Amino acid sequence: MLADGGIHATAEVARRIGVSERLVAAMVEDLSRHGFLTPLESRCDQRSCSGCWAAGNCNRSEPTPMLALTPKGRQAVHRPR
Amino acid sequence: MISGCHSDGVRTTSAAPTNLITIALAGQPNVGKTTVFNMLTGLNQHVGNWPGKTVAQKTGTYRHNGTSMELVDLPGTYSLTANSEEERIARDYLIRERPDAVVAIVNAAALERSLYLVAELLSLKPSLVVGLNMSDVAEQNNIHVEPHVLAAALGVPVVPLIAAKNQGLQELMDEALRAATQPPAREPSRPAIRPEHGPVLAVVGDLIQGHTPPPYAEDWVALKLLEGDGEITALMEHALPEEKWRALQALLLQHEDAYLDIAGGRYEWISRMVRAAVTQPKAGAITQTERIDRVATHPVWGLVLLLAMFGLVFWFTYAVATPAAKWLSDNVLGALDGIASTALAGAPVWLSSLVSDGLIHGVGTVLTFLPILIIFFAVLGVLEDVGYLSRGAYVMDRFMHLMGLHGKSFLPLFLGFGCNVPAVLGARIIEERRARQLTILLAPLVPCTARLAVVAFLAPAFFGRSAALASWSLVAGNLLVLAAAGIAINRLAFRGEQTAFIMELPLYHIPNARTVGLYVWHNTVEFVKKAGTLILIASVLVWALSTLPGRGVESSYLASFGRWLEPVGRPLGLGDWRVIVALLSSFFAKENTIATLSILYGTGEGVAALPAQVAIMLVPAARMAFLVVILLFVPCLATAATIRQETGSWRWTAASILLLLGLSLGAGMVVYQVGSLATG
Repeated sequence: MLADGGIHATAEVARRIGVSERLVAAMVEDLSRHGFLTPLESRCDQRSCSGCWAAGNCNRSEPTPMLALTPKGRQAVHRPR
Repeated sequence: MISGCHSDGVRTTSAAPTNLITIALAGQPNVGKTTVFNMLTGLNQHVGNWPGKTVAQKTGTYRHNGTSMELVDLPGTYSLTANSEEERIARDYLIRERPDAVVAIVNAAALERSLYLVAELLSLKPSLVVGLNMSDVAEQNNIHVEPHVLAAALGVPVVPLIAAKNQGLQELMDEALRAATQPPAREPSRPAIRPEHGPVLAVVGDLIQGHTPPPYAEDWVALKLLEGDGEITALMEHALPEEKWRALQALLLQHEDAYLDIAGGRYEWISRMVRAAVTQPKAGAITQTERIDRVATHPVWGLVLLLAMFGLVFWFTYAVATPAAKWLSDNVLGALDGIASTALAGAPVWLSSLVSDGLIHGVGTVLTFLPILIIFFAVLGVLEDVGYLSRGAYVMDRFMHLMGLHGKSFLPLFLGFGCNVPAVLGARIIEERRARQLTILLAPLVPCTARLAVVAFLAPAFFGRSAALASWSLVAGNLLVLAAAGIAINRLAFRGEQTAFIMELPLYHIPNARTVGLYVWHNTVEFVKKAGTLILIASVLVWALSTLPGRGVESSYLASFGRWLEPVGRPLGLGDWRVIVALLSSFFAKENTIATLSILYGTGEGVAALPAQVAIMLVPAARMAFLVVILLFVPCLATAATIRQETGSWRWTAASILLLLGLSLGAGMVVYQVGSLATG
């Protein structure tokens, strides 16, 4: 699934592989700990807003947590199996 | 059945007695392992450090049914790989000290996570007992775990506990003592490596056979080597003869992804255990979320819903905000204009003109945006808090998937929805410099609230009752351009490379009024600050250049400059220099478009009449072209500065500005020419 790229919701992954969403969430955490996935830091750390010149233009809402495949993860999913 | 601790469970303070049984307590962090330890040992515990380590070691004694037990509280660990000092300590203790029994504490409310450590513990083949803690929390969350079923599936005793209430600990110690002193009734169920790497594991086992230093078990070492465990790999590098080590090294290099099959096997095992022992009727919120997501995250219907949301936002804006904005213009700005005229009746003409034409018409008009912006912020805030907005990027990606595209470039752009600055900053997730720069180049194509506010301000006068439809079409068109840009970047920069992202979509829930209120407040305050600074400065500048050398607007320096640019605007139907200057002033802030128009078109009829005045100057096709250009025009100053900061290049910043300039003018020209043909 991940070899196809794109954004995948944990609910969608759980449905496709026939397990619970909680299990997928546990697997994602584990893959993240082992360096196959990395959390996306797409927004600034809100604690540092006061020092940032762009703070006035920024959307301050909490982003949805998202993880991306690391180079190690990409290698793993694209390896022939 | 859970009962309280029996009086035989005595905490002893005597010196090391005979028949001392060692029980290790293992578990992931936050499963209540230390609570179990503290409940059993009370004050009779010793706290020090693990030998040679900085991690705290806790041991204690407990007497149970005449037997003294030494309890060892192992560090909380998620697994037994050498990823952290805690994990190394836990597994080294289990391997070297071989406690008489291991009690694995798991969280009944998060069994999928907790059982991973149990899967790893089983590979060490200890005498194992599972303590199923937090059963009360599980029940509160509608998760029902059958301990007997889980025990039958695992093949090890499972004891339900509520450690915080001192319940089940007696039974736990009964089982621990039995496990420590009697052989197991049966072999536990252990996870197996997935078939793809089964043969490879066998080859690794053959290579290390006879060379594994004690006390390590060969099958466990083989598994850890294939997992890529650094410590075990280093151990075997020294233990193996040169030839075998080289062969092993080559094999492991070839199968660096074996970890996925090992972990995959464990998760399949966990899934079987959980399916057998856990029942969780779906709670209302989960069912509701699934029902809504059948549409909201559908590749086609999800997109239709997303576009419908935009339509609804505009409709609501025109129904509520536009009348409020008009009221502000008529009653507040109009009154301010009157007061200023009276108060400055004897003042120099330039001062009176600056205050009335520059500040009230300029900054004041922008401030009448407030109702429009408040509606936008409120709707955005509600959609985000409800949990819908995070589906936006997901839906756009699924739509692009249908076109054979994936959104590595698109993702940061969409993350910045509402303001281009976060879109530029979001590109940091792209490692390759060229790909990142290309993505940043197109970040200003994300429709921000400022651009949308300008569209919302002008559309009612431009299109009458069709304002909502026209605005919706403009935004839909903007998103198509964004998608096309994503296709172009994908082909140019990523050469079709696919990258995957995983997100956990939140459950839908009732929006929190305070959260939404704070969001609206923050953004409104920032807008007012912007009006009081950037827009104020720009308005004064525009006023000055449109007044000097003092022979009226049509003879001003700004008019000369604007007329010089008129040939550029004519193919778009924007042959009026004031419209062109207004577009250029949007570089400082998108809202400046309106401020500038108000200053340049100021005819004393009041700011409420501005949209109608502009509409009169532009034919219908030109009105649409004007709004298309506004949506696709060059980035504002803040975005341009962020582009410069993130790319470190003036060249790329200039390229972004020029590219958007070309794109907006080109699109505007096409819309005007086609529109003119259509309307005859």
